[in-house]
Amino acid sequence: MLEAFQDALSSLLSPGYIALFTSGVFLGLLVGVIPGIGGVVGLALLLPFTLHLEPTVALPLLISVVAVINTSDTIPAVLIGTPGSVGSQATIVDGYPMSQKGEAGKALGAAFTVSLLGGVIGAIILTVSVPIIAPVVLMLGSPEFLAMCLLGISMVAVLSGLHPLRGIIAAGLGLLLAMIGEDPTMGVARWYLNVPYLVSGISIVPMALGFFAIPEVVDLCVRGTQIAKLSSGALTGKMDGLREAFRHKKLIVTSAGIGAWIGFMPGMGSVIANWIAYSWAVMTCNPKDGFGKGDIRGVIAPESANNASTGGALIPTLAFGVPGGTSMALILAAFWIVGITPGPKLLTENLDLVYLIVWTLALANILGAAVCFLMTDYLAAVTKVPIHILAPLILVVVFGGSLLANFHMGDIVVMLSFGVLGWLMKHLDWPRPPLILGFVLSPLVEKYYFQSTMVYGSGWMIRPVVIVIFVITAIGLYFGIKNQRRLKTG
Amino acid sequence: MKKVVHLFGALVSAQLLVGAGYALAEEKFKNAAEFYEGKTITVVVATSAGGGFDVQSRVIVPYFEKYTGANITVRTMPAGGGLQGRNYVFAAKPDGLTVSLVEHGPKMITAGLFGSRGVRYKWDKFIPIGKILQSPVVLFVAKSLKWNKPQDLAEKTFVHGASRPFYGPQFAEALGWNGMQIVPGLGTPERALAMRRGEIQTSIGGASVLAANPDLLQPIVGTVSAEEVFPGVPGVANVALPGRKKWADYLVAWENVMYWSITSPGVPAERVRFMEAALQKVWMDPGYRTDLKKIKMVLPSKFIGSNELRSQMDRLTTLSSEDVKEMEYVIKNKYLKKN
Repeated sequence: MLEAFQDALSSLLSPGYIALFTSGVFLGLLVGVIPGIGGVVGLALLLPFTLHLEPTVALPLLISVVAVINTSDTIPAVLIGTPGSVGSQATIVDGYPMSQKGEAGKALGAAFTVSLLGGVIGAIILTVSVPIIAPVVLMLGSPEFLAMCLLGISMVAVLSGLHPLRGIIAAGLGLLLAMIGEDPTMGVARWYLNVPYLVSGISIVPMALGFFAIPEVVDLCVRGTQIAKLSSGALTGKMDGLREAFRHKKLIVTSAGIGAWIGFMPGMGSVIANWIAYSWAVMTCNPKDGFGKGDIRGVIAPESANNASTGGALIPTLAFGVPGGTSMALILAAFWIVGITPGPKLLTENLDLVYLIVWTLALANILGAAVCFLMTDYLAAVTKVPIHILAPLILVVVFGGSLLANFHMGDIVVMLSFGVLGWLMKHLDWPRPPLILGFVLSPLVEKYYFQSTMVYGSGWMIRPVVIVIFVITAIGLYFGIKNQRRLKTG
Repeated sequence: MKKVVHLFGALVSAQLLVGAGYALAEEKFKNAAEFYEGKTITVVVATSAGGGFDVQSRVIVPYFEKYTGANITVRTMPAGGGLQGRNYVFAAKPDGLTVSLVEHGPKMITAGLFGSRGVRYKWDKFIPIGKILQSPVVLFVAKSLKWNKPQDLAEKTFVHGASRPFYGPQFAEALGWNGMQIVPGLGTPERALAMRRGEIQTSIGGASVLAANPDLLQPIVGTVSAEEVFPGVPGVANVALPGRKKWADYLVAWENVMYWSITSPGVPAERVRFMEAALQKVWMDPGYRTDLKKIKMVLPSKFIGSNELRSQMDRLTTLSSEDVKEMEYVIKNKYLKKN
């Protein structure tokens, strides 16, 4: 083991590694900051190049891209209320109001700090887990994944703020909207209105871009001002953000743990990790009345979780060759391309490569966050740009990013439709996060429900881990409802 | 004597006609080469960026570019579960500048045969260009069960994991496995894990799946016999039960049209022939062979050309509506596990 550790270290110092690792980090930062591109497209473009590279440089190149996307995707989320990737949606809820208050620098400073810490915690969890995780992976099947999805849906209770009924309706709408297209088990097309584009369902990228960005751009244009409403000098508050982050160490560690755990669950990934960590923060932190209005804890929790989720997703990928999400499926493809077989054999025959991946994950998070942190002051200045200059730029990015999903006009229609829906919900005071949560969890719930009942019948509900998750869900619901009552009366 | 002169004359005329025809064809071929020089070919990938078909297409692209002289752009069109891409190629201008280099033939054909929703193409009107990669499909059994031959499954009740039921039910029909119960919705890596947990006993896969799980999987029957990757594993045609050979034939047909290259209906024959020749050169290129190994795909032992693929298509077009209905019922419903 020590020898493998040393081999990994020596690979880290090779010129080829340094060149490709650095390129990967900068490419990942670029991919994350441009809404709509996302890790999958970035990795897909790089994949053919890995055919002619050594495993010790090809894999770190791809890992470094994936590792930092959730660091830079915070930038558009905080500054213009547009998720850079699907993994930064929850950050908008408090990050964007902070920008409006003139605290963009503080929000970004905190986000980059916790992204670094979350990413490193994820890498540590990966290191510790990989050799011992096999029995845990084998213990968890479709019933346990279904129970986790139900736990996720129960978070609607805390994401609905003062309007639990509206939250439930929004989540239900999200669940229904995600059912458009082929069902995840038999591939039967439903509610597709005879439009071939809809056979594979609504793509989350144009949906999220429209749902979050369009309402903000419209409102900014109507107001005719800049994003930062207050003319404070707090744009340069990155050091305040750093200090704030370190004041919430417990939140960082728990959110990173949640992120790594969710990342570990097949199909969930950073998008769900982001929302569940945010819900966790709302549920456990006091006072609560600042959430949704620009509370720094609403940035710390999701940003810590989404970076840690990459480490979690790598656990089943390395240990069993089972990808935790689409990005991991591409990493898996890269393993094959460079001639390495992921799975149990990897841990015995290529342990040096495993350590190299862990090192890369940690270092990429450090370098990525450091670069972003250094640029925070310049980035935050975006919020002071007059809207007549900024709005066209945002719209170009939103339209272009939406089209990247399928290169189909349907993407634009989806983006604009959800833009209208988002704007209506915002102005009628309906919570938007439950709709997104319902939408992302719906296909997983459906898939795991059918698999659980087909394999285990109704017995899936009495499996020990399922019962434990159900108990946690019940506790979460209890506290969620209790908090809502307190907010209403307070 | 007069007869001999006439015969000689006829022979010379025929020779001249053949020669002229050949020269004309050569001219057309040359014209096709000139046509493609510097033009842009759009390679449509009907799956998501980074998926298997995307990677395979991108591996072929530099070689196809080299041998056609054209510039190539790759467009992934995954919407509608690939329908967007297929509909697009079908409706493209018939100039030979829109192709799909690696296409999921069975999915394309069955969607057309079964009249699936959103299909806006006629599957038998596509023009096959050739096929230069393959990955034989086999049925795996959990090694711990010690079911080593197809016959061992005949009297058993077992759960078969699949992403969507397709190959499994056809194997069951050909081999008389009445006890197969299919649980759908499991992707390839998920199936291996489900098998480790004992949730399923059989699944479908290729060489890469076996390479990742040699301790777990026992290949017992393939769509075709592929000694180089699955030594000793019989092709289904060799072990199918009497009276059930047509299911083996279907499986062989799917194997043949999987990963084929196609272009839009109406593309001039000489351009198809030119692209076919370019694909054949790719097939022979040592660099391509090396790259193919890296992505765990298999090179067909001989180049499979347009005519061979066309005859495969023609065989499927002769299916009666009863045959199609039966096939749809068997694939989609017959073996589905009931709660």
